[in-house]
Amino acid sequence: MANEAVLGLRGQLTLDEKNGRMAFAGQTALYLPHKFLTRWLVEVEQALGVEGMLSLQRSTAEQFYTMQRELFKNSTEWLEASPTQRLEMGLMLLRIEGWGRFEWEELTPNLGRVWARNNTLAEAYLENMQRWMWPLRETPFCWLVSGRLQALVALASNLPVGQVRVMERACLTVGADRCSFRVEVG
Amino acid sequence: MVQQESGLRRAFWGLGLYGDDELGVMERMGTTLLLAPSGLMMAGNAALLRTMRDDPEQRVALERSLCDAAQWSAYTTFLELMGSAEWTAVAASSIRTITDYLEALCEIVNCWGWGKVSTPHMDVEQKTLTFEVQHSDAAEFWRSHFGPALHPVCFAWAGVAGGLLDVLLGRRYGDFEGHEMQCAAMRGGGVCLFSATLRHSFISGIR
Repeated sequence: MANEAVLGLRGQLTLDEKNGRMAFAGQTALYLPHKFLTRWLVEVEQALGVEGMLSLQRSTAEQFYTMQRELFKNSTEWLEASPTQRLEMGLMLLRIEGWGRFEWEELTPNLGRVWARNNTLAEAYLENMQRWMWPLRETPFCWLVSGRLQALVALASNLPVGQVRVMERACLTVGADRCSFRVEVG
Repeated sequence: MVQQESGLRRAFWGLGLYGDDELGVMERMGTTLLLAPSGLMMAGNAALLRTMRDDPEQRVALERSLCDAAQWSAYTTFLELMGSAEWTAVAASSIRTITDYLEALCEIVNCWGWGKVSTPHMDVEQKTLTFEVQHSDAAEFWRSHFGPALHPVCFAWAGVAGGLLDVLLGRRYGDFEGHEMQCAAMRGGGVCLFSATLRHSFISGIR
């Protein structure tokens, strides 16, 4: 039932043709072609460095937190779900949003590990890496995914975003065989 | 082409713009899309511009590089889009002229939720393009979060302008250059104005 509640959100994507704006269950949203997002992220990272990207992760988490909270605020399934079920619902929401498929690998009350069966952002980096002659990275790339996960965990746990920390520990873009994220709560 | 425009919009939207159940991938018309809250990129741009507000030269250089990055992205995205099977099925048969190409590409962009392109005008002889964007997501986000802007902020749209001409009249990325001439984040009013022209260094032959 919980998963069906998430899948049902697919019917709530609407385009306001007159103004060229879009809403997802009433929340203004937009589509980002992966080339725009990836190329822009590289540009921002070059200008701001790691501190800047951490700041970007935080603002991403806050934006997604607000959007996801609004998406589920009237959902009985969400309100009645356990924190663990909410975490699963959150990962399903990521799939609907096109960010990829992520799975919980380890989950305790204060700690979790998420791995990506498919991570659209990292795949996009690799796809574009050859065209733009970027080197294989030395540090993980998926700041926005970390922010997205941070929002998901905070909302599922009824915590402020600032009480959840997400760090990418392994990333396809540095040559790892998959992306993996460590989540700490509290 | 007017009748086809709404058909194209419906067809693109009808592809079902959400990630698949298995891998969470949203690949439509040759490009992969991600759904995000409005203003996601603009929040990052604001942080960038704040760090450079005391250095006008650096700010101008950064703005240009953001426009160029978007232009490269637009150029490659449009090429992939026009090479896709969905484009062939839905749009190709109704496209006769270069203006049809322009209008069709604008219709797809209008489905991204970035705002609405209106009154596109391309002068093939002069190799120029102008269009307006109503309700630019970037401008509205900036104005609602940071107040009136001192400079144009719709870098992605400027990139789209340059990318459109690169694809339609150019031989490669960067032959043209997009600019925002008027930004709603500065003046209010809901309409931004963009143009694309030959890149200066290309005109003087020193690229």
